[in-house]
Amino acid sequence: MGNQKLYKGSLQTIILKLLESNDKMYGYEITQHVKELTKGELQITEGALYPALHKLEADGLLDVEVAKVGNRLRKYYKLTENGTKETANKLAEMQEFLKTMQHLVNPKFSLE
Amino acid sequence: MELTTQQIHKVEEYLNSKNFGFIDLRVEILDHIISDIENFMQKNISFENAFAMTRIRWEKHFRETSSFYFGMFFSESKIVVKKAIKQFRSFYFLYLTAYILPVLIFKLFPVNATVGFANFVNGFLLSFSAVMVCYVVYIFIKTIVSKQKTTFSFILKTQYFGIIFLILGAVLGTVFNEEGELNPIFTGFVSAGFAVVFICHYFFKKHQEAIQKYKIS
Repeated sequence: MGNQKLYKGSLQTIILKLLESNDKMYGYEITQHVKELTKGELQITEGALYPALHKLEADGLLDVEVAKVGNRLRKYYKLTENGTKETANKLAEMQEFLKTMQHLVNPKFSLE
Repeated sequence: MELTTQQIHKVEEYLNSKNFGFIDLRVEILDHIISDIENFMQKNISFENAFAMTRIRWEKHFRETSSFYFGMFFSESKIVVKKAIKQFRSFYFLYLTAYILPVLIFKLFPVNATVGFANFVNGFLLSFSAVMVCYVVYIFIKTIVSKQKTTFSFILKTQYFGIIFLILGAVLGTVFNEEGELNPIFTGFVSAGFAVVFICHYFFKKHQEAIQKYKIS
């Protein structure tokens, strides 16, 4: 819970990754899924989620579909073709970042 | 447990009381609040209590706030301002560059033109700027008349005042003086003014697209 600031810069990558694995999702579902996957460690606030989703939509990475569910409307998001490519790039960037951080935080000394 | 139409109506009234009519956000915010309430109700909490707890959680997102990007005079719900910043940030830098770059360039490399050419450019800029000012006035009226609120209409509202740059640079002043020397400050004003027109045009289109997209909803 105290690490929210560290996760802030990775919100778009998290959203893209979730949509890559789940075809289409709606806002509330994304927050619950992240909460569940991280066992409550990361809680995406609505105030950060929707502006990020709308930015990804404006950048052409997400497509939207509005459907009637019960007696209300629900907006679903799914990856576009560009979004799928961008997800792969962002995940590669993230792996690289994690590797660098690992070297910095936990350096392995060698005599070579 | 799914909310009844009457209970959903109460949630809609809550959004109305917060003056939250932004159609590009409303559908999913409404759905999210309802899902929150339903989640509480699954734990055997009454609708009234679940709604009260959800309202406490959402209150911070509806709190009026302003941003450095739009000026302190313009405030809206925090969630709207956050979305607006994400959409507007790159345009803010375009706006600054459009002003600063010509000023720097023409201060460093002064330009002199023949009086005939200078008069032609001044005349052209005056006419073109007048058309652009009229276009922004058209956008302003169209947005007011449509009565629909989107995050983009909020951004537009914060940008209209920028048209003053075009009026200062090309209508009240002139880019070239009587001797044919280019005035870097007025050139910066005109350039910033055109950037404002472009920004208004871009967000007006986005506003109209959003109305088209969510009108059915």
